[in-house]
Amino acid sequence: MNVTDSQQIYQKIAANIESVMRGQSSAVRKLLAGFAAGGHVLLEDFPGTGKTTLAKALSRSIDAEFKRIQFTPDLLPSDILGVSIFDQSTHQFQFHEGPIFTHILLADEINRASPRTQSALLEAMAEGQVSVDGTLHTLEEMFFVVATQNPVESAGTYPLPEAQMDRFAMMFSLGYVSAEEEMAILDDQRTTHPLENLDSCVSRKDVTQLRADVQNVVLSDEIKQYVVDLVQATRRTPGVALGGSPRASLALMRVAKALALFDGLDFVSPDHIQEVAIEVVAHRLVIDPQARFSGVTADGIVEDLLKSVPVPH
Amino acid sequence: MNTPPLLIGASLLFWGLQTGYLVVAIPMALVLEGSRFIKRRWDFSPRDFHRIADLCALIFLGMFVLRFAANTASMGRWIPIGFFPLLLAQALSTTSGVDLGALFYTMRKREKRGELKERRTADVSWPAFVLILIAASAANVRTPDFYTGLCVLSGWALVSIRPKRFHPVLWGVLLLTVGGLGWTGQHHLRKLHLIIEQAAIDWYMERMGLDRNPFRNVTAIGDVGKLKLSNRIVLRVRPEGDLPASRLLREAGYDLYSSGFWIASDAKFRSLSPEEDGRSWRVSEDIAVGPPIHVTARLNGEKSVLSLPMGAVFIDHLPVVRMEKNRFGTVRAHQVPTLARYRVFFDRGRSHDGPPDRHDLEIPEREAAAVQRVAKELQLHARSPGQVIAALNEYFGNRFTYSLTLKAGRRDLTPIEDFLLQSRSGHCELFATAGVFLMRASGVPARYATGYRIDEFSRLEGQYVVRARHAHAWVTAYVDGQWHDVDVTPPGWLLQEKEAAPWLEPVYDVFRWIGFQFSKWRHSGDEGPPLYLLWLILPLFLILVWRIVSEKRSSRVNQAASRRELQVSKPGKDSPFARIDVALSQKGFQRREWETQQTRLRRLEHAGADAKATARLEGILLLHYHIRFRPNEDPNTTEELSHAVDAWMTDYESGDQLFPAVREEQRPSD
Repeated sequence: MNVTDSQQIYQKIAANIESVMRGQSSAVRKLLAGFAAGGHVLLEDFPGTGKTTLAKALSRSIDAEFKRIQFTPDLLPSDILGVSIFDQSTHQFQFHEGPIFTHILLADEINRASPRTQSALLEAMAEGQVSVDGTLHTLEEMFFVVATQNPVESAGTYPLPEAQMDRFAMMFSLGYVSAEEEMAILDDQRTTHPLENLDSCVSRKDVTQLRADVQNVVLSDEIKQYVVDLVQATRRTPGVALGGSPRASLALMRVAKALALFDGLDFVSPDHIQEVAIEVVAHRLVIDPQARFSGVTADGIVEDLLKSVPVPH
Repeated sequence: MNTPPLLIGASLLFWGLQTGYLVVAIPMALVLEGSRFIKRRWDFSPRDFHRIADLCALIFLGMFVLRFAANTASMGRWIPIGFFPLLLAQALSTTSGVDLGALFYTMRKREKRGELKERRTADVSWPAFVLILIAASAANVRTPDFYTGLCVLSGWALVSIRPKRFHPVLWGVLLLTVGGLGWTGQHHLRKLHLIIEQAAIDWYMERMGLDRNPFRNVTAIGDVGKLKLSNRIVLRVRPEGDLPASRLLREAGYDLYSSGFWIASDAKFRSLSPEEDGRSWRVSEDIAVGPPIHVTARLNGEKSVLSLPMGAVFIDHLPVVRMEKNRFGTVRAHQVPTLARYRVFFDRGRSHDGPPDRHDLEIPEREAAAVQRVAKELQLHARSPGQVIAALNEYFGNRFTYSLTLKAGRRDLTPIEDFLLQSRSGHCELFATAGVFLMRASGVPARYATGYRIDEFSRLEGQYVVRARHAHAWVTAYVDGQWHDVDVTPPGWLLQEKEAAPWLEPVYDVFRWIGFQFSKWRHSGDEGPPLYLLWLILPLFLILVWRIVSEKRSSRVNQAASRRELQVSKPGKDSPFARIDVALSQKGFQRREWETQQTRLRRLEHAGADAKATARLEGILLLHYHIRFRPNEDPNTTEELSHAVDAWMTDYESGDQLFPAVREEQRPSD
């Protein structure tokens, strides 16, 4: 494993994306961490903050295939997975691949589709494969889902069940950029979208290498203990109906490894854990209604735990 | 306990000094502070804590009852005894606090219902410290010592949580300033309080004319309404032999009357000197005759007038600061104990009041006509003093009625005229006043006396009880060179007043008696240590002994093992970086438990530390991280880190390179 090479790959991709995504360096870092760790990312954000641009910029930078599905209540599982159609000439059923057979998939407003459709996608995310009409179809190696949901509108939505929230490695939001950055965005897009001119900066092989290197980053026992302490503490915190699962610990470990690599280290430091703990753990927690009404939020709980669980130093 | 060592012990001693419970405070302080030195800790379950809290509640309840019964010391000063068991339990337990269920009943219920996923405890040592100070203040000794002690203890407590970034000198100066301001503030507040209090008392006294004023007695003569008399027991009298023949205990005597007021003219008090033991007082220079009586009275205030039989010679068992007497035989004591129990020797045949003067023959002009008319009617001039007394007794006894109802008389008559000529009915003050005037009209010097009549023997208590409704007024007449008590009120008055008493009176009396026994017990020690307090703590010690004896419940607790921890390898725990860690902590930037070293460095940066210096530190930190969190790290890294730390420490010690810009003036406060 060559740490410096991996760090350079990361830096190239990040710089490339940031040339079109102004003022979102931390979001880019988090997205790439999720991507490099092999997880999927859920963006909870308002319309127009650049979710699509971010996903597109990522796919262009790494020379990957990009597809997008706009989720609507009448969307069917076959619209995502694909459908077998009877071919008159061959007298056989021919499988037509759905948009899920791609590298990077933007699932826009995922909470607008019916639960059946949602679970079709989420199952595919978890398994890395889909079965249609009894035939198994393997998804791309680099399959990466960026799902979005709108936090404001709740009418006509089907909120994702806890079990499915758990399948996303991270959830975070982009947020609005500052006034200066926003003016710069206006300047950039006077004539064309800069995305049009964005070229890939690394090869797919590099990306595969990066993802493989993440696996090799080491985690000392003490840091493992800290991860477990944090996640277990969510299960004991008053006001939490459902705490973090072992999958949360796993995800936290993987994303932290990716961050370590981005920093040019082949080991995880406690800072890496703290950096993404909220993004990785909070969305998996179910707050009990009474606590929620008294103003307790999942983010707040994880934040409090970060400020109480003793950290190795 | 999270309080600094010895602080709780010191505050307990302070409390003991202030309240005079040093005997109790010293063992409490020793036991509490001693707990720091023994390694043994007990694994108290939440239920144990509940029981201990219940014990505390019981002690408080007991104090409450005692306080009501004794009606003396304020309960505030006993507080530390009340919560001591809980505090000690915390000090000796493996937990760092007391279960919340022990403190809040609602939490206890939730614990029972299993709603709490884990044990929740609260540290009670700081609240206890505050309560001890409050209890010390309840003694209310009003000396500068108290304030100084309070300041020292508070300063001590604050010193332990002083933010390190403040210079100790500045911090000390601030503390002293606050202390000084507090002192002047309370001093002037107290001055203001005294001014207002005096004004209020003046106003109140003017309006109400509160009585048993040895100089002036306001009677109900001329008032309209019904006299309300209380059944409260004010005195208890136990004679060793016989009671005084008149059964009267006098409080004060007066000689001048003017429309409803009896005034003592020329009633200057003369100090009496105590006998050697300081508790016995010779009231007059005569030799005591006959067996004494024991009087128990609940007195209040700084000055109290004593109830004494006529001819009192010698009083003992009365620890007061000063006693004085005036020529009317009124005896006043200063700084009286709340429950005074004194013994009076008295001369049955003689009084020791001052000789009569012209005032003792004076009849006010407004009443003179009516008085002379009655005197003529009874032919008092022609009779000897003895006959006069008999005639008056017969006259008032047969032709007058006793009544507690005060009626409005005829407008053109004074109340005395109305009483003598028209209504012929009234209460003791009217009888006594009229009696005095008729005596004087017959040429016998007479005075007006107020006090109590001993009448009711309580079989329950085995002694006489004197209630507020036994308050009485009578005549003292100067016959044969002696003053004698002459009671001219018809003897039926006591019966009549007794009838007005509520039918539940005997039940109340039982409670009064229990209360009296309690206060007697409470006051039994006089000056000595309050023994009853020891009885309150005894159960606590018994419980503790039981705990210590039952070995199976106790365990030697290894501090390290008390936290359940997985055995994980911690490479590089002895990293050279620890030196920098200490240096930064001394600078006021301690790492919090949850904070990573990196976060701490960022905090440093926010506080205005030099960017270059922090960047250098970050480089060193990275090396530290390598040996800490990278399994199988090259041993050379440790050496490298060691060198880097050495270099940094040398630079650091040679000059404060972290804050170069602000070094000259002042350290950053944040």
